[in-house]
Amino acid sequence: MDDAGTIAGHYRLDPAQPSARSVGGLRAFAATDERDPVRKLIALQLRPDLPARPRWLAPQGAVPVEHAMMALDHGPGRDPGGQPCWFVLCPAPPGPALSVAPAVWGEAEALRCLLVPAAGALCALAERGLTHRAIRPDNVFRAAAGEKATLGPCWAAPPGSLQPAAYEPPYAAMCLPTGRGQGGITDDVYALGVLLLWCVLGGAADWADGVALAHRKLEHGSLAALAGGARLSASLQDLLHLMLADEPDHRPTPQMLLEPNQARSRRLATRPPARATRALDIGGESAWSARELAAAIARHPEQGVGQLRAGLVDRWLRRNLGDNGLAARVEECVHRRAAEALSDESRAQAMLVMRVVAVLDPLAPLVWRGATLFPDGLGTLLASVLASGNGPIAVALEELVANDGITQWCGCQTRRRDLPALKQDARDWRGWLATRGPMGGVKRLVYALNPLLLCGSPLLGGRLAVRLTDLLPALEDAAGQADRKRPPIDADIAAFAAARADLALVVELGQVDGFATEADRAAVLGFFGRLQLRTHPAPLPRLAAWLLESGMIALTRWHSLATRKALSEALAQHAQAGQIAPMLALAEDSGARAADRSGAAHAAARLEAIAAERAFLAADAPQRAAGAERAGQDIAAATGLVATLAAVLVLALAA
Amino acid sequence: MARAAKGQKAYAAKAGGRAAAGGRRGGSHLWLQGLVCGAVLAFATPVAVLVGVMLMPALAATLIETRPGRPVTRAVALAGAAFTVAPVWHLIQAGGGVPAALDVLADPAVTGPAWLAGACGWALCEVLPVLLRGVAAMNAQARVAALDAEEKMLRGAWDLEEG
Repeated sequence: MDDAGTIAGHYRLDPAQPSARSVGGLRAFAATDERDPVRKLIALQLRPDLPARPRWLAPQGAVPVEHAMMALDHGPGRDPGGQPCWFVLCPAPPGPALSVAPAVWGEAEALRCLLVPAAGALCALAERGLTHRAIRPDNVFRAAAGEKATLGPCWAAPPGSLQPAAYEPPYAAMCLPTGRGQGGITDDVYALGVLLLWCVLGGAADWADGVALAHRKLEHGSLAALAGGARLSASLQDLLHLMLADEPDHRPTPQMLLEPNQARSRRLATRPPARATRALDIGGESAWSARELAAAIARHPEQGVGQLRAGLVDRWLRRNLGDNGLAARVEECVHRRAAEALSDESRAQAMLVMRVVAVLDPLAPLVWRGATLFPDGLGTLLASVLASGNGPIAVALEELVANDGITQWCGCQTRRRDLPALKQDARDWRGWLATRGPMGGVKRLVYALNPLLLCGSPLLGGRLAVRLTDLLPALEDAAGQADRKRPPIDADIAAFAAARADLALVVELGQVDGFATEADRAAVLGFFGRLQLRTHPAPLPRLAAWLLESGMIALTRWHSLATRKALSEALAQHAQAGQIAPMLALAEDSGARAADRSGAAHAAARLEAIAAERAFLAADAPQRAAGAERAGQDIAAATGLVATLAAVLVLALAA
Repeated sequence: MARAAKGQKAYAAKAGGRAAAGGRRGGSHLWLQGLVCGAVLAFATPVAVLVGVMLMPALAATLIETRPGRPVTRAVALAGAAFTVAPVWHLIQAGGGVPAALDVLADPAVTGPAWLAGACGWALCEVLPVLLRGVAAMNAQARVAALDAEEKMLRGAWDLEEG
């Protein structure tokens, strides 16, 4: 929130309607645009565990689309209770959600008021390379009966993360909610088909049990699993049969759905999956087809691995399913696992399960130790499990990346078109994870994969930073209550900056290991100095004072006490002015440092000489006394000699 | 070790030889001095009597002093010699004998200054070393104080412990 209390500079929560309501599964507040007060807006409050979708909030995503609620802007603000939160602004929905007043829709009305406008919106999104992935009754709105529906907001949470399993294709429904990945526009077509069915059935469908429903979808097909025994017209049944096809390529495109009569006349030359003569029982589940077997192994990996090693699976594939090719590939996976020298048995088992599931069902998601996801959903899933404290899944995901599981999964895939890009991504992710120091590790991975994830550093004291430009104002704001003995940087901030900034800005942070050494402190100071120059030229007096008080500029590096005093005064002046870069310039003045070192060396040498001379004086005292005595005696003798010579001279002259 | 012991033995033998030779040389000097004194007593008895009495303090110092180089004897003898030269010269010029020498010695204005000069020589020889030792000690103390001040100044201006 900026100083004027607005969000993103122009928007403000409507004080007349302070209470929150739920829109698209998130808290929403009425908001106004200061430039156009008449315009009705809502501000959706982002959840910390559900990072927003950056492509939607980019400028190209914000162009209005008919019958879809597009995001206008986003930024930090405070809810009516005063709590800081991140808001995304969008136009207010035209009316209540469809789920508010379920009613039986006629087929014609469903096609005209729901299917066609939604398909039009999906066409526009597809042209921009976006997917909606949040089409469900509580996120589709219309002003009144007979009016066209509008797709609700979807950009404030990861794709499909708030979708009930019924509205997701079976393979996406198998995934953990935040790990469903970007998906394709055909997944939106699927969700639209389910919503169409829900409307026609009058919202009476009972699709609560996600796991059982996904299993039923795989076993009987989505339409049969969802519609059950409901009577549908033949035309609608044809249309839904296409829209709810398990294969994404078999579903009609949004463009086709603009003409529903033509879309439903399309015929598919598909064969039902081969069915075995006898079921294979894994973990209490009976698998009749390869994809059911894959799902069963994914759900019961222990039992699945036992049967794989015993050779029961490939034997069943050969004898009961009659698919020798698939059996050979599964056998190859088992042999490959035996040949691999993985020290950790459970890791080897996870790798085997992942490969076998990918081989048995090319459409299935990646399965790794209880985590089921599509690889492009890794970032959002990791963010949500870390935020919710789900340690085992977080560890499993970290292990998946570290062991190059995604590349291995790609190697078993035959259907996906984006494999080269995914492999390259997986290499990058592995590199970030393997990077030592504060710029690497799982935090770096999470921030890099979620460009709109809030920085989770406790040093911010609840202040919000999503973009790199938010970091310094948040730290400046937090500096008042912070423990200034600790430096204003931690692993979260370093990883956040590394993920958001370019390499030149953070390269020195990579070498930081604690803050004990002079180089580490200089790196931190340099980072903040450059960051201020780049993102926030305004003064940051509290942060500058924090840097000083936490010892980021070690005056003890300077040997000259007079220089220290002068430097301390100059640094205090710069800190008061809130400029970090000049502080760095003062602290890192190489000419002055060299002069200081030279002066210190000279002083040290002089002190050594003084000590040596003092020791000599102490040791030489007896010799000096003896010399003085000899000299005294010699002087006395010389005096007598001179007197004698003088007497001789006088006598000689007198004679 | 064996070589070092052998070297030490050789050095000790050489040192013993040198000491024996010194003793022999000292004995020959004593014999020569006795010969000279005997010759002077035999052939210039008045001068010998005059010089012997005038330099009595020096002779006494010779007997009493044991310090190497006999600095007091040297100072007393040289100081007394300054007041002995003139009476001896006058005695030789006058060609006087032992009675003349005794007459000279009977004059306190002649023997008094010589003995007083000897006393002054002795006093100088005792006081001057003390004075010079004091001056040297004061110089050393002044130097130490200057060094202390410089060290304090350096330590006050530089932190040489850290960094």
